[in-house]
Amino acid sequence: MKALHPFPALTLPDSLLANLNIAVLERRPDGAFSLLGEAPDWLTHLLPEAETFGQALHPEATFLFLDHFLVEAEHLWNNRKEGSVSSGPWTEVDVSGREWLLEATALRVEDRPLLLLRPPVTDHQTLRNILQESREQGLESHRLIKEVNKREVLLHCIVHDLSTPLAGIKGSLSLLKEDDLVKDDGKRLLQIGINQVEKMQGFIRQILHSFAQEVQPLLPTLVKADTAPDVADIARDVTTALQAYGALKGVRFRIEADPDTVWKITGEAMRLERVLFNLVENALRYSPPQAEVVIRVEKADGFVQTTVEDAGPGVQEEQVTSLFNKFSQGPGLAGKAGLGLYFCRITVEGWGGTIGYSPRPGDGARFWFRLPRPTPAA
Amino acid sequence: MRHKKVCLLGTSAVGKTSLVKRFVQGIFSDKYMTTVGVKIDRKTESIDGRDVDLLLWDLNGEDRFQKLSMSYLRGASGYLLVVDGTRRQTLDAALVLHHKARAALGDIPCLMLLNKADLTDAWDFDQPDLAELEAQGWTIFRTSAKMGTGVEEAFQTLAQLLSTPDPATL
Repeated sequence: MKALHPFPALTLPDSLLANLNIAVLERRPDGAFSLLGEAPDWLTHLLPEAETFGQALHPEATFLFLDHFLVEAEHLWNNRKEGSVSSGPWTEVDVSGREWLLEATALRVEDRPLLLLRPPVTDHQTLRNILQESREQGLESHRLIKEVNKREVLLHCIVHDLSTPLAGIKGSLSLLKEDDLVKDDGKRLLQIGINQVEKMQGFIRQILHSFAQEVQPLLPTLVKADTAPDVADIARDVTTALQAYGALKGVRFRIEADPDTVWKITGEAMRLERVLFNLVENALRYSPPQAEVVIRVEKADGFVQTTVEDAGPGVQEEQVTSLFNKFSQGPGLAGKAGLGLYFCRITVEGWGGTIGYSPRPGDGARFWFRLPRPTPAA
Repeated sequence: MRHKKVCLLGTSAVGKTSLVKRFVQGIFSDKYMTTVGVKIDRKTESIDGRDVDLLLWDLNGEDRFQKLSMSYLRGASGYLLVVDGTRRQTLDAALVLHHKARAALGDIPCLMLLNKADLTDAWDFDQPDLAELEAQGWTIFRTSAKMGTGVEEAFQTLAQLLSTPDPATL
């Protein structure tokens, strides 16, 4: 169609296409190619002869993939077809091993057979798919991490439930065995019982070793002062980790701990962090907007007491007695395993401490745990 | 010298690029780099005293992100269907590609490579599985691009088939 108002002729600078990283080659009657305009840097790097002006080029001799694509290109050029045909991406490797992703387009413009070579233009749809998938995988991995953590807590609980009565059974059998009333046959049978208990304790240790490398046996631990965790430091780590959640709800954290005192306790840092995390996260969940969660660390009867206070609705009286039991769920917590506070209890008690709940004067909840100070370093 | 185009087909991350790298350069890298489009390498093999120039077309793995352009297959003399031996579902994807390749190229020589054979703990195929595939006519190689196991043999066997006037194919 003839334009009623023809556009003025467009004169492009030679370097324009090179600056856009596009190499424009024209197919010559002798089968070679001529470069139109300047060569982009990537082309002179991969095909140094392209730098020489007017040089007959045979890019297909270097780019083996082009040899394949030129069959389709020739078809378009020879049939004087409109439109263009694209090669799809391919990868060239230079002498240094660096990879160059390229794409070719063949087209016929004003009866001239042209070949455009360039790095592929970003395909936004593909990019979006990749982002979508990456994000989905991110979510999935997050879900799996949570699931693994939950199972680890469950494992703690199972192990605790198995090991605690076993220790009692073993103790009773041992005492009975020492009793004069028990005759030789009875002692032999008691020894079999003790052996079986020990075997089962061995299994439990094996389970812990195989499935939860980081999980230490739930027995009182002799912790030296130089390796013991500082509960005030852990409190700071926990509030940092929950900062975003707190900001979302508009809830502030306040840590009250004398900065001149070392707040080391008997325990292990990773599990102590999980205990405190459970308590602070609970407090945050029940806090009304713009409220404050207070974590207080203080001395109490030779122990270190940590208290977590919130301004939420508190715990109903009938729930207090079962609060630290397994599968105990707070109001509105359907779907949660009900193991968080149970985990806190068995962990704290395993370290020779105590844990409890008391209502906060006014409104709110107050959870606390006491742990012994560590054994002084030798 | 005769030139033969050989394509490596399979879903993503089964080890096609690593197999080519092992065969051509004798090296392996643990770092996974996804292939976009195609990368071509070449290696000359001597078959019965005659040199065959193998043009190895390492094609992008087909999955939900990337579809394999069938135009890449044009002119292929044979192909290697690569399966990750630790991910059973990659066999299904490979068989889909095999049928597409069959439709595009006809009855040309092909072999199946069960790759990552070094990962024995995670291995997902047992003897009856292999027996069933072999019963369907597949020639299977257990390969490890990491250790080099079976790699040279697989490429050599395909080169041999490509040099035979009437190759036995699936």
